[in-house]
Amino acid sequence: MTELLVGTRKGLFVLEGEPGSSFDVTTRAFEGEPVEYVMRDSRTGRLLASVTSAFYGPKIWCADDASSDWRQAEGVALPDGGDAALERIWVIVAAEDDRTLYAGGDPGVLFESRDGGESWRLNRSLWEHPTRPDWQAGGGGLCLHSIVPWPGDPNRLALAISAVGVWLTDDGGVTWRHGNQGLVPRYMPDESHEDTIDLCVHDLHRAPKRPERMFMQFHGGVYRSDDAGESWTDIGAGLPSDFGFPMVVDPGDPDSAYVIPLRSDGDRVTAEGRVKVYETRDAGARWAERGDGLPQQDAYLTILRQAFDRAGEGSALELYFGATSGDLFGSGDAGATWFTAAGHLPPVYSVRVSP
Amino acid sequence: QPAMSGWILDERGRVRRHINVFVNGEYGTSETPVGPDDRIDVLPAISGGWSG
Repeated sequence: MTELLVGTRKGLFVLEGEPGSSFDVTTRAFEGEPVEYVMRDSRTGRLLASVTSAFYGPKIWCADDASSDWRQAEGVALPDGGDAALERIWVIVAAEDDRTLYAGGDPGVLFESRDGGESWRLNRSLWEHPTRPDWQAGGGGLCLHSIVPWPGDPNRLALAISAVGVWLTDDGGVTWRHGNQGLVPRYMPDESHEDTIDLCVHDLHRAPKRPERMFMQFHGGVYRSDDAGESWTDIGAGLPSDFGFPMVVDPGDPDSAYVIPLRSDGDRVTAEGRVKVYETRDAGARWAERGDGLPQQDAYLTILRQAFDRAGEGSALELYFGATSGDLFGSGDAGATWFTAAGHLPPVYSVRVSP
Repeated sequence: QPAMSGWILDERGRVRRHINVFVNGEYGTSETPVGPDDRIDVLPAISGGWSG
C-alpha cells in the first residue's frame, strides 16, 4: 500500500492505493487552506505540513496522524522588528541524524529544528549573507525550495534558491559558498552570464549511491554535477524542452533522472497537449520518452516543483506527480507505464510519498 | 483564537494584508487611535480566500 501526501490549494489530502489503479482519499486536513508541502519524517513517523494561511501567514504544523490534532511549530518567523516577513515555507527535509529537520522558505531562508519539528530557528549565516541585498526573486518569490543532504554526513548540505543559485556547506550551515559554475542563465544578457548570481534553479537532487553526483532542473536547462555541486554540465540537449520544474532520481541508479518538460518559460504547460515524462539512465547523454498511460491529447498541464516524488528503487521504483489541473498520476514500473491515481483534486502544489 | 504575534501581525509589526481591523464598527488602520472603551474587531477579509 502506498500513501501519498498531497498539498493543494484547498488543503492537505492523504491518498492510499496500489500502483496501477486509482487511489482513495483517506484524510483531508486544513480544509480550504493552501498547503504548500507535507512530509512524513521516517525517523519518527511524524507528519509536518507547511500551510500558508491567506489571513494569518505561513506556519509549520506537526501531527502524528493526519486526522488527529495538528500542533503549530514554534519559531517559524523572521526576526521581529525588521523590514521583512516570512512569505511561505516551500520544503521540509529530514537531515542525516536522528532528529534534525530543515525547512526552506521565502525570502530565501533556511530554518533548522533539533527536536523533530516542534520548534525552529533561523539559520543566521544565510539570512545575514552579505550578498543578500542583491538577491532577485524568481516568479514564485525568493524561494529556498531544495535542501539536499549528503548521505551519512550531517554537516554537508546543498541548497537551491530561486533565483540565487546553489549554496553549499560542509560545516552544517555555519558557512556557505556558491555552487554555480557552468550554469547559463539564458534569460540574462550574454555579457552578464559569468558574474551573475541571478540563477533560477528549479529543483536539485543528489544520487544517494554516488553523493558527488547531482542533477538540476534549471530555468531553461537540465544539468549534472560530478563534483558535489561545485560545477555543472548541461545535459538538456536530448529533451524536447529543457524548461520544467520538478525532477526525481532513482536512488538505486546514480546515472538516472526523470523530468517533466513544459513547453517554455513563456508557456508553462505540457507541450502540444501531451503529458510526457523523460528518463535518462546514462547521466543525461540520452533521454527516453515515457508517456504510456498519460494524456496525449488536449492536456495542457502545469506540474509545480514540489509535485513529483518516488518510492522504492530500481525495477520497483514508483513515481507520482500532480498537476495544477488536479490530476494525480502514478507509475509502478519506473515510468514504463502510467495510471491516473486521482482526477479531481484541487490544484496540486506538492506530492510526497510517505516512507 | 488567533494569537496577536505571528497571526494578526507579521514580523514587521504590521497587520497582515487580508486582515481587517474595525474600531467601534468603523474600518481602522494602524494610525487609528484606540482607547480603553473602544471595541476592536479583527476579521479575515473577504479578499483573502485565494493566495495564488
